[in-house]
Amino acid sequence: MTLPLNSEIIFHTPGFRGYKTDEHNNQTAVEEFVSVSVTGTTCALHCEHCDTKVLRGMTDLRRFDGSLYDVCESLAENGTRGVLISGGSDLQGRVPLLPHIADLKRVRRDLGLAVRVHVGLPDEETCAALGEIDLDGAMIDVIGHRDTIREVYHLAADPEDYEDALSWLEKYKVPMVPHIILGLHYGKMLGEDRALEMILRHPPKLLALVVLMSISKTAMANVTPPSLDEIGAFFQKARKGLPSTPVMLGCARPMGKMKVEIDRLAVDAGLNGIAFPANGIVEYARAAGLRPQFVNACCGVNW
Amino acid sequence: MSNTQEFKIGADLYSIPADRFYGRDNHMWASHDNITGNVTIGMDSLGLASLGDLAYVSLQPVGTKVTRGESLGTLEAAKMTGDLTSPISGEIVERNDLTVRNPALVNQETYTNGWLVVIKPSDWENESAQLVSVDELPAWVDSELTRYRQQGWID
Repeated sequence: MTLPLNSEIIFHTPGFRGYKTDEHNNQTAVEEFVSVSVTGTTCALHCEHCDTKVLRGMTDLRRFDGSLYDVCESLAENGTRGVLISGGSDLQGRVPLLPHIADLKRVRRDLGLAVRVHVGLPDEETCAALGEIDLDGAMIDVIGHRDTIREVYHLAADPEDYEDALSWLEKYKVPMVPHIILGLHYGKMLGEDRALEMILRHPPKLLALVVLMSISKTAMANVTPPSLDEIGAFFQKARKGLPSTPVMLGCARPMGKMKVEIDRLAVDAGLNGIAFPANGIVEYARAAGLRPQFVNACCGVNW
Repeated sequence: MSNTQEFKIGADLYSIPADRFYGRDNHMWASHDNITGNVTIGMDSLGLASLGDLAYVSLQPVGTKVTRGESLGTLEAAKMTGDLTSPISGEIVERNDLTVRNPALVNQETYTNGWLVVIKPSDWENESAQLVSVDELPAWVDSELTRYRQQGWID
């Protein structure tokens, strides 16, 4: 077993999903970390694995009578400490954040909220603008195989475009929180190694690993995720590739019994944190000599 | 009064049968057997629509005393991990292990084979009066749909 950097493990439970187990409860009186979709449930891509389902459950900016700043101000008045600004993508794969840059600057400066954004596949103009916000992090799903980008995301782009985006985020000093979705190509491991290689060339704030989660009423509803052996091996590879950078197990992964096994692999591989851990994992980590901490926000957010 | 309240979420049609009671906030249904006096408990389709697919269900053992509003088991779903709260107080006299082994049954056969537990109620007369009954059903479904949409839990 590989112990993480400082023998501490952080369990993250952002407020967009209710979470209560024997070991932790994020359902406090205050929703500390809230996700807001700037496009509601609209997305131009209709990716095979999501088909907009992940956008459900986010606060829909379009239903709110006011600007993004107004939404965040209202949340802050009720005790919220951080926001994830997300949304569906346009046909170029970009989450349309540019119209909200001025608001986001004020959210950070005047309200003091931690701000995370989902960027999709951002262009340079967006990356430059994000560099002016003092973001906590920009989250980008990095895809390392052309077929996955075309067939799963329905996007006319290549892995090189993702590397360009990482370069721009680095150039404009935007803290990067790349995600790699293991098994994104219909459950098969395909571009994950290349995605990791690209990320290693552009040092991130942290790396989040997630595993394909079959969602009903999508084209991947019945897809089998990668095997536990493949998942565990990739966890080890990422840990080895980023020995001094936090590597986290992010929100999405198969549920039920497989989740328990995946979470154990994450602890065994020495990952630094787990979002929404399976029941029993906190004790498993403690038994491995780790000190558990809890943060009701996205991976890597520290208040 | 129709014997089923129907509603649409996106393109999908859902139903809430009028032959039982519903927890006002927790979206658990309660069906009273007039012969035995026992009450079968399950989750309703609006609650399930907001949670997504259930992947894990655990239920308290037979013989457990439960209190209204407290846990009779736990669930893990796409949008939530947490308690299944009881709409009534009493003792669990039967539980549906089929749903423990196959949680998808709760989504697929919500009002029939997807039931969760049977409770011998301790105060059915008073507690059932606090549940949503047939007369209130249309207005309650409408207001809950509005609330769920405002929260972004459903389309």
